[in-house]
Amino acid sequence: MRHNPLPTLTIMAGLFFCLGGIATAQPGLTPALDALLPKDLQISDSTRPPNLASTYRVDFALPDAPAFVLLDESPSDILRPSTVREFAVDLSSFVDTSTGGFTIPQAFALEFSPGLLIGGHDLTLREYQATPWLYRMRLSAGTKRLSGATAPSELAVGIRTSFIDKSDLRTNKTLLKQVTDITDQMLVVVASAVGPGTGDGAEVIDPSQLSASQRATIDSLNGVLQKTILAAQQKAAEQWNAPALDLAVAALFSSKDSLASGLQTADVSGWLTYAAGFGTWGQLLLGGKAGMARANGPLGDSTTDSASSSTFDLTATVSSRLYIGTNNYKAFAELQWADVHDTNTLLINGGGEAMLRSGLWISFGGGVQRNLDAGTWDVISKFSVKLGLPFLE
Amino acid sequence: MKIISFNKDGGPICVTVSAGEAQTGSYEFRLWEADKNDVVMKKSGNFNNSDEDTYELPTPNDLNIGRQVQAIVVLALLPPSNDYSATMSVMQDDEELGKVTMEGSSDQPSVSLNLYAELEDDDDGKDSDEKSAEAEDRTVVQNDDDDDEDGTSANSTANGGSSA
Repeated sequence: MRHNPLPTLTIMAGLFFCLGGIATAQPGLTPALDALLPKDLQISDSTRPPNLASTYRVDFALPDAPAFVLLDESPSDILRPSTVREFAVDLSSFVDTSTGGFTIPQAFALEFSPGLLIGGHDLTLREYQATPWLYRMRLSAGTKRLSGATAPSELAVGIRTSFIDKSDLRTNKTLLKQVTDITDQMLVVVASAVGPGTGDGAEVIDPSQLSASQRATIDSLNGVLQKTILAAQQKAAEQWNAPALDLAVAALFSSKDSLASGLQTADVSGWLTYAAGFGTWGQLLLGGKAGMARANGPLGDSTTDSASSSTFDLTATVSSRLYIGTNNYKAFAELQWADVHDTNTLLINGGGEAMLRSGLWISFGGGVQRNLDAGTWDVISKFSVKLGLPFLE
Repeated sequence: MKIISFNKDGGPICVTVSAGEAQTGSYEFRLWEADKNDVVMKKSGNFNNSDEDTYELPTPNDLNIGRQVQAIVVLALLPPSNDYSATMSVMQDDEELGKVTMEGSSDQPSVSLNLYAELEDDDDGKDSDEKSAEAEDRTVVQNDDDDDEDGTSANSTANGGSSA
């Protein structure tokens, strides 16, 4: 295991767009399920409903991308499940581990979700629901370069998907039923105003084709529709500890220099992590990682020489982590056993994380790592700052 | 008007209404009598249930010459995507004769679309150049975000055509 005993500052810049979230609701649209009843169809606010996508932002904690986990030097190997985000960027190591001074981040990784790009315009709701994991897939890639003009470089690629994602609106049967009931009502109004087509064959129905009362009804139903969707999003966002199941695979490659000369596979690993919630206060992660790592580590690894080895070691890690708190403030405790390069280690770790403001997260932790073979102890610590798009806006 | 040609001696004509971008919504399918404001057939459905969204037109097929098929579609736009796509395709003997598609994006919670095409017998005396022109016919409808009364924006393409 590549292990940095020094305190490390990791800054992860998460630039992502919405899917669920706990950010501020639109003024005047405070979610209230009671307001979804038909008697509340009339909306006094004549302003147009805002863009739903920009109304909510994800403010769940930001887990690392699989590619970043392989590049990172943290001894913790658990891959935290996450909801699908369209784009995220990880930057790490603002601290030079040898001098303790500030330095340009040596590791960089990004994760993005092709999402609905798979299937695109022709993807029907039924097709999506048949294989939602396919559309929750996130791809990640990252690179890390050590100091020095001819220093070795590392490149990692990863892929992750979620088999359970409670924030996915397209598999929320209750929401879909509510939404379809509303569009059924809208259809009655619109269809009554439209006769046979006389144009080119396809058009957005212009509100001028509707009477004033029909337009008012459609506006009201649009308001109800928006409230319904926002309520579902908020409900999902409040369930920070909802059940989740993520599967990920990543590969790490290393080369002698930045020109990728002598590029060789250094590590190939897979993760499976399940998250179970307890009430509104707790979440337990159970995860495992297994893979193959080059026997002497990546080129340039400080714990090994730079000679290439043609042999690989099987690696295995079993981890558990318990979070207690709320979405914005949590404490965690972690226990992990690992067998890497024929060395058995036990990690006992703890800490916390907090959202200082929308999009700005800090996390901190510390613990000890026991080398079960050598009988030695290492002290480990970590401090992370995570920036999300709402903070950057 | 979009023209879709069929073989009056072929199998029954079927029309399928579908929504892309994994969006849900409701629709009403209509078959209009030729040159009249009479609805011969009307069906309603949605994209959330498991019911088939394909409808067989009346036979014999020559009854449908000059008739218009139409789908009024109301789609709810579920985040994170603001994109929508709706298609009405006309099939005969497991072959797609033509389709009308409307694609775009909107900053509104819903969008209402009107898809329609006129049915014609493919043995109508038109030369091959005319049919090819119809097959390649594409209509682009583009509206800016701010100029629609309901704020609906569309960067839309209607694809349709005819083939024997």
